[in-house]
Amino acid sequence: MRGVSEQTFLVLTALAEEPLHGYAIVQSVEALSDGRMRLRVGTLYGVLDRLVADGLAERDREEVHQGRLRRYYRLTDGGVRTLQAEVARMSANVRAASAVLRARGSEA
Amino acid sequence: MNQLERRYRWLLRTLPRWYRADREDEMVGIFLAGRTDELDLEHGWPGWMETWAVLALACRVRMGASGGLARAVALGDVVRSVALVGAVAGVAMLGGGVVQSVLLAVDDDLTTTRSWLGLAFEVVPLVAFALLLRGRYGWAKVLTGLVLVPGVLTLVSEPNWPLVWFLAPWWLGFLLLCLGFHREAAAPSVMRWWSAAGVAFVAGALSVVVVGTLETYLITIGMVVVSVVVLAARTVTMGSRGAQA
Repeated sequence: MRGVSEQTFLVLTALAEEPLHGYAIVQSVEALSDGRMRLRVGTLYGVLDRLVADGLAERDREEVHQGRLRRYYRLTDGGVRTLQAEVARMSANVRAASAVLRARGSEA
Repeated sequence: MNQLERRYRWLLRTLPRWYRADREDEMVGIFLAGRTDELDLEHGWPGWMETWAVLALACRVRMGASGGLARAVALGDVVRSVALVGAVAGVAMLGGGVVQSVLLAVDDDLTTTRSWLGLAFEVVPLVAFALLLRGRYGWAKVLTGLVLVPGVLTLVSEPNWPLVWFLAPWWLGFLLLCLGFHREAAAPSVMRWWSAAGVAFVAGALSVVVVGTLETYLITIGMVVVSVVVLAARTVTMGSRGAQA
């Protein structure tokens, strides 16, 4: 099975902690990736549309902040399961790669 | 409303009206969040990356992205079908190329080496077609674009209208390929399109046997005719679905 993209993974991770509005998701993804990834608004909505359509995330509440609409999104149970599965898959890869590197180090 | 917001809202007009009605204010809010520089707000613009992201989103939403309207999905299906007809025409060209190369080899023609090189290039559309059906849309687009490069170079060195008209359907097919096969696009039916490619390959080969040489314009005309038929059939299907809804 092909894993989710890095963007999707980071958005899922950002939403795993608490429901977030769009700008908070952008900031959270930037922080999670150590500033490596800054989501553009168009990209963020592509990811959110896909997550909502796949039942992995859903709309939460709405509020108005400084005259601007803020819509919050949260993970569904399916989203949590998908994130768990992805973490397990990536952890297995990391363990396998670490084992190879350790073996290489012991031989050197 | 500052100039930057006005420019961003103008960019968002590439999105469908129903999508903007739901999302525009939310998107504008995120885009402008944290931007307080007066100079930026008055003279700045969304930037290339944001523009590209919004255009890509517009493409996905308009051409059948997940969560889109049934009408958008149907439009996406039409665009992808016509793009696939173009890819199949590339396979027909390969069929003709194979037979022509064999005929030249049999005749021990001086141009044989050149024709085999040409044939190797004609295999590229087949590879692109296979990648497309395997869901490797990005690589399929790159290879298809590569096939069109010689035509563009020829036009740059020797501009002429007949060549423009000849190449236009292929460029259009490439454009539809780029627009229709975005990341969320549904994968095409493998069996159906491989069957079509098989038929096209044989037809291309037979055309060389019958005519005696590879007449690329015949294949181009065939591609245009089949595209129009597919377009008409899909439009009728969409109309009948709409009537039932």
